Amino acid sequence: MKISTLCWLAGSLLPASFVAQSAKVDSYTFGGLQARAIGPAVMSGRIAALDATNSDTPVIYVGTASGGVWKSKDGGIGFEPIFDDYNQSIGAIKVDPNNESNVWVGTGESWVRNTVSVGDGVYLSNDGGNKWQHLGLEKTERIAAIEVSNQSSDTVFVCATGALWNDAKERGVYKTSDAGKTWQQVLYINQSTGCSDLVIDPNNPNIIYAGMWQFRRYPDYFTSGGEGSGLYRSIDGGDTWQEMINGLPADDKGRIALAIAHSQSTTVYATVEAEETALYRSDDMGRSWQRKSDAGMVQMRPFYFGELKVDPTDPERVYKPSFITVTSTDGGETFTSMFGGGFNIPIHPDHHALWINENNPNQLVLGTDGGVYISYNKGGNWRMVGTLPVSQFYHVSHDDQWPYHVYGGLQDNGSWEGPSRAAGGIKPGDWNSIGMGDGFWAFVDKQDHNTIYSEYQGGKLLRLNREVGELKNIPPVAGDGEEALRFNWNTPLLVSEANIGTIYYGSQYLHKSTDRGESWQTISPDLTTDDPKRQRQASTGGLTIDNSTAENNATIYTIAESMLDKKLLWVGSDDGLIHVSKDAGDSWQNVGKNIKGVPKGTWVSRVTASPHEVGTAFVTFDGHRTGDMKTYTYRTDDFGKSWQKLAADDLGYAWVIKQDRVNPDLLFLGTEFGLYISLDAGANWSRFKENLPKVAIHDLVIHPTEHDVILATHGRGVYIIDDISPLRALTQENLTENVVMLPSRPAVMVEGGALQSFAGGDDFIGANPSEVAVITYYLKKRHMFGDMKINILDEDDQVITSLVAGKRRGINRVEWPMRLKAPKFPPSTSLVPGFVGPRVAEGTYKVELIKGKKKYYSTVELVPDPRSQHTREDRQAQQQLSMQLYDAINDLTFSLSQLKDVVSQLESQADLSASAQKKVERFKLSYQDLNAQFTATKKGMITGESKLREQLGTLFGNVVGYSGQPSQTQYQTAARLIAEVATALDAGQNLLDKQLPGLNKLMDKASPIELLDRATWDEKNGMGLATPPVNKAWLVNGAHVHH
Amino acid sequence: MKFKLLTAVALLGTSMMSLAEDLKLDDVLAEYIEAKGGMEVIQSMKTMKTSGKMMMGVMEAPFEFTYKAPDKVHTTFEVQGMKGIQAYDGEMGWQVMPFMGKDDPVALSADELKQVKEQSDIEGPLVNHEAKGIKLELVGLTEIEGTPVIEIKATKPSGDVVEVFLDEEYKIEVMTRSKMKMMGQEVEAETYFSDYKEVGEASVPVAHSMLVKMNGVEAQNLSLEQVEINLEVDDSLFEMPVVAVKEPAEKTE
Repeated sequence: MKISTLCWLAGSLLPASFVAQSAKVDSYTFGGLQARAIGPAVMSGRIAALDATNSDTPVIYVGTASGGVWKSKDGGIGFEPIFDDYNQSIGAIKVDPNNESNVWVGTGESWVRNTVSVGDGVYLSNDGGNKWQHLGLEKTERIAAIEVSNQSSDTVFVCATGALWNDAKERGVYKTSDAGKTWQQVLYINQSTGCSDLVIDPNNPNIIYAGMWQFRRYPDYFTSGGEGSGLYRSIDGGDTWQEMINGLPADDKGRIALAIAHSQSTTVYATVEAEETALYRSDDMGRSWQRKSDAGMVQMRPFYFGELKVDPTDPERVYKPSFITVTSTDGGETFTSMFGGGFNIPIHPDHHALWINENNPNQLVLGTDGGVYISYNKGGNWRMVGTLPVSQFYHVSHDDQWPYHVYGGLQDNGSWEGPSRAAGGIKPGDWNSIGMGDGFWAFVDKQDHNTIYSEYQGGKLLRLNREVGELKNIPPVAGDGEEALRFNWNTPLLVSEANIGTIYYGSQYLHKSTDRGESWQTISPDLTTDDPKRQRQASTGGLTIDNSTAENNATIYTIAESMLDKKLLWVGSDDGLIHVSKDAGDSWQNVGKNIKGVPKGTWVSRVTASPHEVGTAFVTFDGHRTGDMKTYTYRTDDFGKSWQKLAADDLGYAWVIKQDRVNPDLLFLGTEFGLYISLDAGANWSRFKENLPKVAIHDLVIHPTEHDVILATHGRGVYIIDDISPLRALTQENLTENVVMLPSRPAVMVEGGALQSFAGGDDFIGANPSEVAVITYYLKKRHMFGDMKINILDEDDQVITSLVAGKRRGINRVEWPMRLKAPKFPPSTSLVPGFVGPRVAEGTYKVELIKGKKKYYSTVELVPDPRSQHTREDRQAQQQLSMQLYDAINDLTFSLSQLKDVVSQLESQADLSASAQKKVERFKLSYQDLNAQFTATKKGMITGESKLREQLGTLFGNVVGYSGQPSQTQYQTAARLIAEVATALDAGQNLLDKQLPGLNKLMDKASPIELLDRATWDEKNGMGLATPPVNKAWLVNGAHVHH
Repeated sequence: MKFKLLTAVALLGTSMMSLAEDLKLDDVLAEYIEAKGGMEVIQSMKTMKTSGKMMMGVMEAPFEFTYKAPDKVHTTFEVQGMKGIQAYDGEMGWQVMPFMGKDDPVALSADELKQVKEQSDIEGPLVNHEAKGIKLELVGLTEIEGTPVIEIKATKPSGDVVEVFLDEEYKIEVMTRSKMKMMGQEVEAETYFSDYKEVGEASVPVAHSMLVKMNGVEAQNLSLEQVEINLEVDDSLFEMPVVAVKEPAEKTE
């Protein structure tokens, strides 16, 4: 009904011509515009679940807190993401014990910290993770464990922790007997009690144990424990359940973790959160329980450390992953740290998942807040996995060097900075730690690149002297008799661009410093509700108090300034208020109350000011902490007096919105479920998914000179979409054209490259942007029929080179290496370093796109590397010598090919007289002599033979490989070799002059020897150039083609 | 006016739904064969010779590919004047890779042989699939880079799977995806087809541009310059040469 109404409306409101012309805009419209992952993986991120095959080289599946599922086929050296199109928050992974190809994934992490994401049910792959089926349980939101019966792949139990922020019936234990087609909720307590852990008896899969847990989060408070909690067992395959109470705490219980001893399955262990949290052990299949250790690591943060494992071959060896992982070798009576009693092995604390190889219990895989570690001696030492870029960024900023660096803070992994590109890719060593704790905002000082501001949880602000490595604590504090400052977990920091030298920082007040944080002024009243009902953080935790500042509420959460008016400031709070000041903080107006349609008190996740109109601002709200998952995005054009809702409702709860710096209709929206782009000021949105997973985008910035969109993903590190110039040009008008040439930023002719390194395959290397010129255009439809190619033209419209065109619908990007094609070498027995042609000169070149019979034109601009130490004259000298050598190589090759061609023609002559045959043989021998004089002919891998061809090739490679002035030695060598080429050409010509007339006399008059000409040779050899040959002016003059 | 628009919308909806539901494998295959010139034309092709350029990053190599029915193939490519050869004569697969100073022909490894045999089925898995023991499954409608396509899954007797994506409108390949083993590791290869041009007397559409991605990364572009059908080709081209004493200068080109 609704749909047909919409159709009527659309039909009646839109002009017919618009309906006919409007082009499809969707994710594919962005086409070849790809995001690139720059990592980092050096600190990795939170791991929530693990499973692996019990083989010599285990296939390892890693479920991350918010970066999807990763698979290693080589025992944990390399990992690849296998879940990018689906929910990225993982709670459980299970490899079917009956069939290793079946992999179950439960989405929604169950380690319910304040920043945990939400899942959308259960998935199954039948082919080791290539393809996934969504099998329902969408509303369970969190899944802590999945177990598959070892007697039937169809029988599976799902332990659904359920919703965190609200009551919900979709939680407890679910069972399927038809591999997920249908589900039965077989254990349910109440709307606030979910399943915290589930284990199955390996000797009798009808026996199942489940921990049930009552818990709830609010923006300012967390509570674990209640009468709903308990330890349950079923002995009839989940049909009926009994609560196990004998020996367990009688009062309220909290989170329960379970482990079964596979070598003796009557023995079951449980950690039970209670007034006195402890480990319990049963040796009679749960009928009775004995209290064992209550060591610190057993009691610590039960809601966060709910993992427990028993060695598969030794029922007395128990592992308790916690702040650190501790081990008991006496059946749980006592625990000793396996880290030599301390912290001397630098592995990241906060451990959530542990896998032990059933067939080799020495081999452990551990999931922590800082990635995955592997041990081959039961935890005696560990190797960190370097190929999991699942870092959880909260925010990102950049500096203004070239290449620019990015700065940001991460959940439980401090603050880091790293380059946006680096020779050979962005390696772990390119990243530098710049802060500590849980990192959030980080900025470089606009006036002093040696100074970096970062922060850690609960408002601790730091200033780093980068060169020395010294940190100074600089947060504002309450004065005598003043109310204590309330800082959010993720306290907003703004290093001003509009007022260079000013820093803003938010508690319940807005603070300002103009002396790098040495002193602070408070420039606002309390801009929150100051509601005491939202300030319960001091007693948060439930059975186990847990006041880490994660629940601080009634605080300022977002600060924005206008680049159009230095005095204009916007502030949003986590309790739903938005204030604006037009006088640099002297007075404030509450303008959030003018917004309609957002529940009162909903967290303001971001305010951003328009770079185009001073009264325009954008705001996002995030209601997920009260169970409201809707997308809320609003715009004002009158300083907040009135607001318009943008047409985004179900894209996930929103973190950030930004208006493009150039095209006011181009908007970027980051939500919990990816990046969305609007080309029409928010009326329509499409997900950007080219190489960008469906990951939470917590922050984004648009680089003012590189035109990159830099994304802070919470789970997959930093991504960069390089050069959005073409997106800016995708106007509604352009979208209806069949082909549109689009602009690109000038291409930097990068100098230098990666030096020798053999680091192996266990590091994630961040991708670089294309280091070539990029030609960009839009196709309304995929090209299928007829020719399509690209020519680069010189100023006389002569073709310099041609390129393979991209054919996809939407934006296409085609790379031009800014070089001629490689020179043609004569046949030989070894390769020489001449695989690329000379680089062209800087300047503007004309681009011709040929599609069928139509031609389209644009230009591409090549600029020198901003870091270049070479003068323009140096670069021209290099290009000149490169071209001389290039020509000499081609001349030599042509001459030898011409002779070789004569030989072929002679050999094809039949019925020659004996004397003629003799002359033919003489010519062949002469050719072979010449050929052997100028090219290597020895067979073998390392002959060391170097003739004219090899010497030319080596010199050419050396000259072309350096962008500046060639050395005097290179000039001298070039002069000698070029003279030798002249000698070789003369020798070839002499041979032809002496012998060809005589040979021709002997030949059949109908088929005289035809000499190969240069133009034919050029064309045949794919130099990319038909006659006339290269106009070399553009190689050496540069910067002169202006079409 | 309003009425007409609504009808158009309604009709569009119906036709799309029926397409999704009524799509039958046999119909799609029939249209595919038709698009390729008809079964008679396909079966009349005894030899094919193509030449063009292979581009891998900044490197460019001229190549030639020769096919002779039913399963002989011969491929050459040239780097710095040296010619690499890979061939299969229906029984034996061999190659010459002279780039490191060794120019004798050697037998292909099992993985390489498998790939070359795949090449030798130039009709592809959708033609005569029953005779080849290939099982086809119509997966349904989907999109490749935003172009609507029909997905067909082909399972070979070996168990290997090739996914074929046909343009929904023209019923010719937009992309194929297959998994292959290289040095014992599984690699996913995707080939994107474009620049279809009509070739030969029967005007068969042949893709003149192919982009190959390995594990999602662009590996090479093939661009065909010449396609000739039913030329005379001697069987000896495909047979592994007997290693004989050769003059050094005679060994290439």
